[in-house]
Amino acid sequence: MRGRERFSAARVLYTLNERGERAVMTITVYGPGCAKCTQLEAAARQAVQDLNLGACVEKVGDIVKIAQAGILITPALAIDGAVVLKGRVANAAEIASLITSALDGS
Amino acid sequence: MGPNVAQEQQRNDLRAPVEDGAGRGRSHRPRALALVAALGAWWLIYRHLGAAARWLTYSLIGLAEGTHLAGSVEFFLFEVPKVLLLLVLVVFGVGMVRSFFTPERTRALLAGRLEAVGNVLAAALGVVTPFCSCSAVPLFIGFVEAGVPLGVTFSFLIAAPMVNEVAVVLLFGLVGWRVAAIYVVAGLSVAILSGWVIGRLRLEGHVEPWVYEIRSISGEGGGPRLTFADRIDYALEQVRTIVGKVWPFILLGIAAGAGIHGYVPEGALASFMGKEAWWSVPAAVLLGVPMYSNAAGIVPVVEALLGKGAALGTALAFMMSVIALSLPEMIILRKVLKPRLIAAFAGIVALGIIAVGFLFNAVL
Repeated sequence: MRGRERFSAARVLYTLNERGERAVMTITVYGPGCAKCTQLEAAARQAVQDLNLGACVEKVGDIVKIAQAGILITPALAIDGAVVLKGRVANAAEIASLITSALDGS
Repeated sequence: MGPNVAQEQQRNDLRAPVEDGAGRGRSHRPRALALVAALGAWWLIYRHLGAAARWLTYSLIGLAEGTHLAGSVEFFLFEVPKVLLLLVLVVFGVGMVRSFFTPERTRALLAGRLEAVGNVLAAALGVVTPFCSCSAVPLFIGFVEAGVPLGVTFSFLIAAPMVNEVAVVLLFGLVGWRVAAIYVVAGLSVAILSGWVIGRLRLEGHVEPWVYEIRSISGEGGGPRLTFADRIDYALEQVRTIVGKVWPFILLGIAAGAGIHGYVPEGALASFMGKEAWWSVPAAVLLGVPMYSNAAGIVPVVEALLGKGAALGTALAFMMSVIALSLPEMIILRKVLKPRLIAAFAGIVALGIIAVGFLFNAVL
């Protein structure tokens, strides 16, 4: 998260990745497809909509990729690769505040 | 559920103004007070359940005392709120405990442990660490990668689903504290011994080789340190999720139990599920393995079986095999385990459960 800058254009939020390229903020929901994972994904999409962001929400269901991300318990949520929530479902408001604090911290 | 909704509302009312303010630390005292008030209310309601059930049955509904119907109605009106209240309390308590045990911390405690000690610790941690069978594979990979021995990992994976709070509360509420205690001890023993045997068999070569090659990014992170208020929130969330999921099973199970008690003759099952029929234990396990149900669905069945003459060992073996071994879980584990290790895992756990069944049929 360190050393990145934030650009906001037409409500699409860009962050700088490690190579200094402009990239759309990515919110990743990890979960093999259980009910909780689906709830978390819906809440993440709702949060992005509520914040009026152009961030990209992706769902990772492959358990090997989940393990590679260092996650031991699903569902989990990562913002630009940093895991911020594990093992439980959060509502849209909580995810929105996680996104906001990730932006402030960068 | 009525009283719980009221308590919940009370907590929310106390919480709301605190969360509107910015200070998180200030929320300790109202939370603690609300908790004490809720516990007091819980105890008052719990103590008067019997009297309330009697009043509802004989005064409000006006059933004649001594009839079979009145007995069943009173049983239902007493047992349902009793079991639900117990479940709310225990799931909340376990939720508070679980908020201290993340899978990461458990993994750190188990990494590099010697076998035997490791198996015992893993089974115990399996009870208090949050676990969901859909994350069994990432958890398995994470444990193995961190150097937790294979057998110790299995002790954890066997204990986590088998010895869970829903099973224990339902056994306690519907069958009695002795059977609940026996179930916990037997479940932990099966998890410890099966994991130890799997470790002794040196089956590491039957884990898919790529598992050892995964180098995951550090599993640290996952949010700030939890405050006391966060832990309460987590525990309440657990209560909502778990009780919300299992209450229909409890309602149906107790209703079926209330009916069965009167209409199926006593001892109807004794001839083929009693102590004398030695083959009933392996048969119960063989029947239970392909079945997949949660504890909430199976305990009322076990209670009915016991009431109609099934031996305790046979009934417990059936319950354990349904909860601990399931086909969907094995299909998921196939991603990381070769068929021979899955067969060894299922076979050893099944043998352990059969041994538990024989043991309790013999000594009780």
